[in-house]
Amino acid sequence: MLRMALTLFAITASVAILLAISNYFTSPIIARSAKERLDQSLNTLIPDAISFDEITDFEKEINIGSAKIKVPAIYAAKGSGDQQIGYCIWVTPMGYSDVIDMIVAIDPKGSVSGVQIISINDTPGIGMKVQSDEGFQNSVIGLNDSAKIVKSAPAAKNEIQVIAGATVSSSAYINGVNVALEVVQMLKQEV
Amino acid sequence: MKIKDIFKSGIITDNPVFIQLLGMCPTLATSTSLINAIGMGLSATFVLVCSNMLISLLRKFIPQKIRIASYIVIIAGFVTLVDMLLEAFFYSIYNALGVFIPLIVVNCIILARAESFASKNKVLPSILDGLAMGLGFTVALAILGAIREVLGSGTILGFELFGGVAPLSVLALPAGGFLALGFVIAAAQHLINRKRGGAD
Amino acid sequence: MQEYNIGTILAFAINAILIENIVLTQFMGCCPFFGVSKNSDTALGMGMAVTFIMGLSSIVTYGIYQLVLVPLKLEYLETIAFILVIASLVQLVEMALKKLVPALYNALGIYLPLITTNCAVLGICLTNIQNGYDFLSSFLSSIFTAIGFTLAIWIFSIVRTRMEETCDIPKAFQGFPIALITAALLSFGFMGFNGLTL
Repeated sequence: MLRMALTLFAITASVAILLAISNYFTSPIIARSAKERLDQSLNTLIPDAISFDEITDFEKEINIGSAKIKVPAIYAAKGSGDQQIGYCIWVTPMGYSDVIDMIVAIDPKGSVSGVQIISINDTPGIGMKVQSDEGFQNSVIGLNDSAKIVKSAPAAKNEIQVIAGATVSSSAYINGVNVALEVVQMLKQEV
Repeated sequence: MKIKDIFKSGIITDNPVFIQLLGMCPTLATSTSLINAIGMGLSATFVLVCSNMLISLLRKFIPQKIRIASYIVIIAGFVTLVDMLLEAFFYSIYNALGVFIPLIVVNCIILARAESFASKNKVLPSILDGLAMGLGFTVALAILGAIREVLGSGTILGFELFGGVAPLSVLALPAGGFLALGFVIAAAQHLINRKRGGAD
Repeated sequence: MQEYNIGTILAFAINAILIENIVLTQFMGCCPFFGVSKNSDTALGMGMAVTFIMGLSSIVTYGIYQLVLVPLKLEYLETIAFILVIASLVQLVEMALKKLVPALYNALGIYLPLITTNCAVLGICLTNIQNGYDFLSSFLSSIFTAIGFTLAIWIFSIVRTRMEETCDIPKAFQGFPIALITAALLSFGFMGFNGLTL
């Protein structure tokens, strides 16, 4: 009995030690490449920015309807002379099968200036259309107030039409943008 | 057993997916595109080869009663290693396969080979067996992935084939996964029946 | 989920049971789904055993993750820790049932060992952590997901028995292929729930 327990413990312990070693080597690479992907997205969204300062003291979850959407990070883009030239808000709405990671850029006037999808993992050919359909992605640009999700051609400025057949994923995208807009409004009230 | 026989059995006559019907969950979930299918197949092959090797090396030390628990720990260790390596070096595949990478732990093929082969055989044959079974799994996934990507999304390895039109987009859906695998296994059974006794 | 009231819990349940059914849309738990669905009684038994273990393991894995792995910065060991928890829980439950509730053991006993390699159990524990659920949400999501599993395997077993008794299936499709195609049709049916707006 004791021998069995010791053998199992020895196996588990050695596996854990080996993993600790490999974690030691891979975790800096993982952290670095994640940082690179983030920097790249931020720079594409606001190319004029000189630095992106993370705003840390902020509520990390926003409610939209019954869903709770996480906001992992908020960055204030600074141009030359420390001037505020926009915000980048990282939001994670729930898509069809997985969370969509996206960054929404908002200009100082409070309207959406661009969106970058970092990761989306929905059904190929359907939910993934959100990623390939640039017309849809760009339809949120210029929004300055919470968008209403509609299924037919938009009648007003703040109505955004979902992609036919990919309602869940494209609604998630629009909700993500709405959360970002709300975050910026909250930030402005604080100032 | 000759090397040729080991590979023939792993890839064709005892193919883990088409003949032994093991590992259905990853097969169905990750075969939406060829690249995901190959990524999944090779990750599982890596785990299979490594765990077969280690289990065969340790087969005399592991007491009979706790063997399954020990196998699971060893397999889970290699799976975590693959998970780290993919996240560090192949992020797009890591991202696409998602939770199915840690779920390689419960892939029945790996535990089945540990129990039925590696625990009874020497190291070298165990490695070869792992490689052969892993490749059989990869080939099966790749066939299914290619069918589902070409017909379901109209692309192959991400390149558009039919001017952006998907001929049978239903195959990209979850339901299409069951459908495609059903037809492929039916085709395999048909071939076996024909080989066995001609007319049916 | 932030506030727990009848509405949000119901929405959560419908989502986990019908819209994102674990077998039919996420392909987790396919092995028992195809393996033990030859008659409806065993299918229900399997479903109940899975529900029991899933609920229990979501509680224990949540505790281990938040109280042990996170403080020690050992999050990367989650896969190993969770699979060990599930395997030992299955073993413990088996022993406890055998001693304390022999009737239940006789009904569920043979399915219990199979649950260790049911990827739905490990899968739901991992996704609960990934989605950042709190304790109650983790537990509810596991229970509802397991009910979804039970529903799917039970319907499937009924269709399958009917079909195998009454239909003339082409030789090449006999056995597993026709089961897959039946599952495909069931999955199409569940896709209809996508239209529900919660």
